[in-house]
Amino acid sequence: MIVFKYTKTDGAEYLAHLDMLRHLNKILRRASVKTEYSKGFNPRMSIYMSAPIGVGITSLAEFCLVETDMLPNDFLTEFNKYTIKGVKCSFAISTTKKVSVAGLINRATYRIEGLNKFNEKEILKASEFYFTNKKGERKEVRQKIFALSWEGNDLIATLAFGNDGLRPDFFAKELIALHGGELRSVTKLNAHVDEKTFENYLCDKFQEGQL
Amino acid sequence: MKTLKEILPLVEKPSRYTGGEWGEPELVASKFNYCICFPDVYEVGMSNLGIKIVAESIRSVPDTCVDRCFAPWPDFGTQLKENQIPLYSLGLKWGLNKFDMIGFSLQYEMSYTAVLYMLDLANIPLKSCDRGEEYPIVQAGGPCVCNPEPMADFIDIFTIGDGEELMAELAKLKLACSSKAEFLQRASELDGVYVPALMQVEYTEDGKIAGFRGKTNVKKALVKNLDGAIFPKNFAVANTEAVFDRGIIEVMRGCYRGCRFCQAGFLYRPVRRRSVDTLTKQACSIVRHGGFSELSLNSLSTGDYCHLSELLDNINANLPDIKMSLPSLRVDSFESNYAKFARQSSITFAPEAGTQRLRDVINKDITEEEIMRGAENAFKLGYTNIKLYFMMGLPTETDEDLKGIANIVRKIKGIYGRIPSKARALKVSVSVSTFIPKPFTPFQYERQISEEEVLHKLEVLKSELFMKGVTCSWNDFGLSQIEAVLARGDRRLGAVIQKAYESGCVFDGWQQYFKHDLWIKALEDCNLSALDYTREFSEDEILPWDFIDIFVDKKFLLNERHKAYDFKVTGGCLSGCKGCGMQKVYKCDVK
Repeated sequence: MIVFKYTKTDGAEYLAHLDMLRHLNKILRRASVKTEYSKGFNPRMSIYMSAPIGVGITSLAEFCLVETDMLPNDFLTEFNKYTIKGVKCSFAISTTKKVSVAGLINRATYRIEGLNKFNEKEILKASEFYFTNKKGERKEVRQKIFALSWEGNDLIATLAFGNDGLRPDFFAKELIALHGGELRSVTKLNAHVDEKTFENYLCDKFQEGQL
Repeated sequence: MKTLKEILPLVEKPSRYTGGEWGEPELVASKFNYCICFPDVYEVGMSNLGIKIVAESIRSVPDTCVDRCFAPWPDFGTQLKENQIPLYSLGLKWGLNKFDMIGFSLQYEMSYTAVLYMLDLANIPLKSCDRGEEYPIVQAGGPCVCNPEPMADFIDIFTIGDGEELMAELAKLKLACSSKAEFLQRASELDGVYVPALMQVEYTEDGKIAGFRGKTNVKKALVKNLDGAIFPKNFAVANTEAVFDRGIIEVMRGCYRGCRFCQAGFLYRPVRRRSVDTLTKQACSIVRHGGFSELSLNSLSTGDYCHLSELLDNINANLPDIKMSLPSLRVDSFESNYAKFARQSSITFAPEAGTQRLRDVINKDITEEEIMRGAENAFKLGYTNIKLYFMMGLPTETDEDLKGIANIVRKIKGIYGRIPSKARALKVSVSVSTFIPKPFTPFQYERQISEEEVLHKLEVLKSELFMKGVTCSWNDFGLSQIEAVLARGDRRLGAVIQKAYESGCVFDGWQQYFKHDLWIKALEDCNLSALDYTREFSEDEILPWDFIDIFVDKKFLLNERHKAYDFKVTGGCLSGCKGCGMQKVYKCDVK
């Protein structure tokens, strides 16, 4: 099995999660990557993606597991030969265990552009932070905000990710409502398992012989 | 004002509007820049084979560039309008008004208002007479242009028939001409070209056609050697899921059968086949390049392809893990060894009529025994869903014919009951559409049934088909009525289409956007009624499409109509040439 990291940029950020799954299927077929298939009436390629990000959010750190015997370097080369615009594989590692990419990744770091500057430490000091979710409900989400800092005029935010995650675009909208600004873009910079980046987590586990 | 980048996150499925698909070449503007415009949403357009053939044909000519554009869904269309962004192509990201020529693919009459919608969003005047040299030439092709008259006000040049050679010829001609007028005049000399401005229509006092003046004999373009004709080597893979997310090969063009209601069956005559070798090569190229997991073997009746078993075996040997779909498989050509490649749980048959008498009327040359055999074969292979297509409102139809539909369903259920070790209960979906008389068919003269008749027939059907495991669906009367009006319309409908569009009609083929009342009002505002076009046409009157020659004799069509009323079956080409007229221009390879 291989776990690989890929980007969603240059227009690919507008692909919805299921469309991305279809593209990954096709890329692997074009690249002649021999993969396992489910054993049902309509066999499906055995690939497992990390949890979805919102349509329009650029990402440098999407992850996916594919059941194949191919060597990681060969996989990376072939994938990039047949991939679509904006989807580029930058890292691949072999594993003998089925790593749950969707289950393990629980944080993500984002670059948010277009916000007016404010004192981010006040949010981190506070015990509560409310925002409006997709359904229009007000929710308290302070425990889902792990780190905030400024890089020039861009806010770098580490937020909870996955099923119970905090959507960065909704978080940004809340900040705009509080402090002003006009959202220009959101980019997912990295995915984490707690404090560690997912890439480092995988490398460590590999060295420990646990992959 | 918002920029495109700001708009995209606000709309549904933004990847429809970004371009950059796998398989689409990086475009560079050239001397002749052409944009294919598909008057429906991206997912529908990206599944269409015709526009890929047109692109391939024009790209075979040096100094050309071919781009694409699809009708934006209303949410994006509204944003474009509000933010004054002209509708743009997906490759070059040019506004449509910057191209030398834009070409619409008219696959379905209900897409006519979407043509106006796209022109409007691109800031191009709707009517040909209002477009000077500064605007692109507006062209249209596709099956609907066999009766181009309803769209004559808006289109500069229609291309009728096969596009493989004609579109390349037009590109060469455009490169050689210095003005729009010169191009249109010279193009009108080509087979397959109709320039509405060069023909005038005269009407009698009662609104019927008195005659045509000007360039009045337009022959359809015919590709005689389909096997050697250009075919797209690679298919672009749609960004978002296309309606048909699969590779397509065109096995044959035309149909051996002669179903009297079927426009495609007459329009695409004569039957031309590709060889097994060519098709296998095309299949391998398309599937490997696109990464498709499914391949569709298209034609009007793929089961009639004489080398089908060999072709399936060849493709299977080269592409062992590919799922093959054989759409348009006639019930009498359904064989177990075809179905084993499909790996599907649902099979579709189209008996079209419920009784043998009515199937004879429409020349649907299949028996009830064949329908039952086809169903039994499918059930033995593990199929548990069956879809059955029928029509209502066919000439000479009675309530007994509708009850016959229920009889067929009952018998099919009985057959399933006798199949041992079934995986699950049988599901039968019966789909009934209202008959629409179409040009260039023996039934082109027939009237369309009224709303009262439709309601009565539906009552009969609903009571008869009230069975466990059976669902029945039908299409909206209003939609069928307007489709009939547009299919059999004349030039006077141009004003109606424009009025309908201006009053808010667009995406009429999508049930949620279809506004029947606005269409009726548009007809009334132009002193017309739907009945003017859904009535029975007399056999001696001039029909709006009579100036077009598709090489099928009008006498043959009339004779077929008479035979329908005598309940006589003609059969298809495979049982011997029936002398439709095609033999005068093409050597058909049937005896």
